[in-house]
Amino acid sequence: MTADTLIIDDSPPLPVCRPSSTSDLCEMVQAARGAGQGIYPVGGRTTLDIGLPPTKPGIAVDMTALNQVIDYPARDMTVTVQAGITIAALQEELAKEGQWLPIDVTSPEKATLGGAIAVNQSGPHRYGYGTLRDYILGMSFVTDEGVEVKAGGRVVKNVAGYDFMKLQTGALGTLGVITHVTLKVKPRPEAYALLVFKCSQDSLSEVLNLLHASRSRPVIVELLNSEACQAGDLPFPTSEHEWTLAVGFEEKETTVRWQVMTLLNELRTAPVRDVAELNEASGYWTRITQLQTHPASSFIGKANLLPSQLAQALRNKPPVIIHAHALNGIIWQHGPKPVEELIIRRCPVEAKRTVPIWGKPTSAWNLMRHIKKTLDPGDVFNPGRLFNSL
Amino acid sequence: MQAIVGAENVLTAPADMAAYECDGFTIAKTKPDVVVFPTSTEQIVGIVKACSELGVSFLARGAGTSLAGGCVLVGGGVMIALARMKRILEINIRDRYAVVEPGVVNVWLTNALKPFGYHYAPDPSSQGACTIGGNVATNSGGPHTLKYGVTVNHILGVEIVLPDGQVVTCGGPCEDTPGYDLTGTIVGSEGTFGIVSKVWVRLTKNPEAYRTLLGVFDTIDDATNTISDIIGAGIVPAALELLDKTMLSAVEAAFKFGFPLDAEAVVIMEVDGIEAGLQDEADRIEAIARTNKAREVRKASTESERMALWKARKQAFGTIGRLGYPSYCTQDGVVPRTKLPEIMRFIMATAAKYQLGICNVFHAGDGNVHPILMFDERDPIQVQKVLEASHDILAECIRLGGSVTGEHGIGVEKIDFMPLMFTSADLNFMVRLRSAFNPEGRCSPGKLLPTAGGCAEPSTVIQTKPARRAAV
Repeated sequence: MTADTLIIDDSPPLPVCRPSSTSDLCEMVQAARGAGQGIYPVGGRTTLDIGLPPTKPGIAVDMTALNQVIDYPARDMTVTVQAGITIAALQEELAKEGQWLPIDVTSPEKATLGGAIAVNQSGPHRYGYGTLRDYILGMSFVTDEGVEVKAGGRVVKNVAGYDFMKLQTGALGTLGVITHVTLKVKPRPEAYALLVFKCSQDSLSEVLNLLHASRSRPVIVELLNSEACQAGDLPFPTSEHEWTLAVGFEEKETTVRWQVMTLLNELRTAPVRDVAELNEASGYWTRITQLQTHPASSFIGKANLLPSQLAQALRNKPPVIIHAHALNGIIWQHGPKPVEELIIRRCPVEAKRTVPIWGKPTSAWNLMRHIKKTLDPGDVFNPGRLFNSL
Repeated sequence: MQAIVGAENVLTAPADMAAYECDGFTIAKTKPDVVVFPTSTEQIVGIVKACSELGVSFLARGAGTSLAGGCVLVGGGVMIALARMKRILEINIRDRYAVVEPGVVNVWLTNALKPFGYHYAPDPSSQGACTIGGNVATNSGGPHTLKYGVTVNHILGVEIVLPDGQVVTCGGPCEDTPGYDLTGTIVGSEGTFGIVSKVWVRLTKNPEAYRTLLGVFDTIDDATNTISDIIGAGIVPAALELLDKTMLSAVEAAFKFGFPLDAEAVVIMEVDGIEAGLQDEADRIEAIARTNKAREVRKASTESERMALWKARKQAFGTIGRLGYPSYCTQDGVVPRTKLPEIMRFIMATAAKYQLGICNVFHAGDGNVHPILMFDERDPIQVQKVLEASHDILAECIRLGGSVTGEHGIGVEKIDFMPLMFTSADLNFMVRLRSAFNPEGRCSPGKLLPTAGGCAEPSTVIQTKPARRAAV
């Protein structure tokens, strides 16, 4: 126990406990459950904005001391780590073997793997590489009974038992505290390229169709307005009412060069201007990712659309920061005030009590509530943060 | 049932039931009491509600190609055969998805996508017969999962009929549905959560080009070392498939491809992607094979040569009959890829120990072995040997840090292995999850978990061994 406290939304100050072993953590969960209190797991505390306000007193469990690499058989392209490892430390370890986890996470020096999984972080690379759910082979977590259980395994293919890795990814820590994770990793690409260009709102649909049908195979297609370029300090900003498109290629050198040439050719007759190749690829994508938690935005929301609807949906938007994973159909919209129908990632706490923060409700939410009630009947884990009331 | 689906969509005659008593795992057999063929979600709801009222168990069945007894209706009940729900409802290339009914055969979708230059990536060897609903149930793999991932990586959403008749849509064509990833949780649950009545799948753009090589090796060790070195070199091939000498002789007898019959193993090595740079990658693979003493590296120089190689691989199971055994049992162990040489030596030693015919054709790049144990199911001694040899091989997979199933599922076959891979706490938590979907345990009973259903302690029903009981 420490004198540290943490406030989540408008919660009372929650005492922060920092378990130094899984058994410590198990005891904390058992104690909290016995006392009818909540467990609020935290890692780097980089995305605490996401979710509804806590509804129960309890403790914040800081997982950052459980941050060891357990096993890294690099030739098998898998790694097993404790969930409190930071994304930066994990990537550094993988880089020693020429490998990486192709997932974009905000503030990677602070953010933990467990936290990134709980909020299902992703960014520009998701177009070519998928999301965290595609990389988690196995997982251990502490249940409401204060015992550690595991699912999956340490091999790249395994269908024995239920896939709790999927259920925990994006569950906002409401079904247990993730302790260990086995990941599938990728070889680092030999070469990178980044093309940027601009187009008007009227041409956007045509340009996105071109990128979708291109003979080149980009792994990233990002879309930014001038406010987003400015907020992210990105080079080649557009003027108002214009879009910047940023396209990334990652592969073998010859393959990357061919793709750049091919796309440049395809763009020659397209309604775009100021086509340029930038040579600082990794910094560019990191800055776009970081926009997801842009400090100056008091509201940040997300729309998930069909990719073909994106251009239409972006018409007549207010002059606020907007960026999109264009071929995934995902739009990020910032602003001073919450916008209904968006999935809200950050907003003032008062608004969380009046606006439905997960967008339009669907029939699946009843089943989700039922799963939560079955797996955490005492409502120990992050009470209130996913469901308005149980 | 006739009132719900019509008399023409119900089978009850004992002779008809025989066709539904087992799947590709012929060791376990139980006849259902009735087989119904719904043609809509509403009919599935009607069937499930009727079963619920009458307290009768039920099970969804696709094409019955499970190799783990996933389609065995333990204890009898209503078999819900989805083969007549076989429409492709929508193909949307711009948004890269399709919507299909569960009875759509895997390869039909890929065939329908040909004109657009797209395909559905998961390609189990049985893709000419198996259904997408079945693939969803078992989270099927296939040769090309090495690069493209397994079924769950390509499923965007499902519509599921829960055992109480509720219909829930999980996920859908748009990415990042808020809340729990129910789709990912349902895929691979082996039909124990409900009946999937509609599936949204991701479509994948066809690669622009392929290079398909055949490495010929004098020892299995050389072949497996090649595979391990290719992965270790950071190359991500589209597929790495190994066929051993016995398998080759059967394939050769059936198809006359001109495989070298004196080689101990061949490895189909495929890379795909953009033409530019692909030859370099193929050359690197060839060099690795030669360093590992490949006797010969053949290249498919035309698309028809490539298709012939894949035909040999995908239809290998169908040629096993040439080897003169009436039955076979395909195992499905996984080891870390670097342990392939070890597990292959163990498999061959096990064959010798039990004097069993074993041949091998498998997804070597994933470390997913498929030893095929050949026997005569009419001889109880042989059946016993097959069960014991399977047990030894799978236990060795666990010891080497792997799993007892990479893509076929636990079904009824591997229930006894669950306590070897998972603690009772792990299994209890799985039982709790199942009870959230399937509280009465009437949906696909006796599968996946060593409990009869409901919330019983796993340990109390470990004695329930439908596979063994049926076998011996």
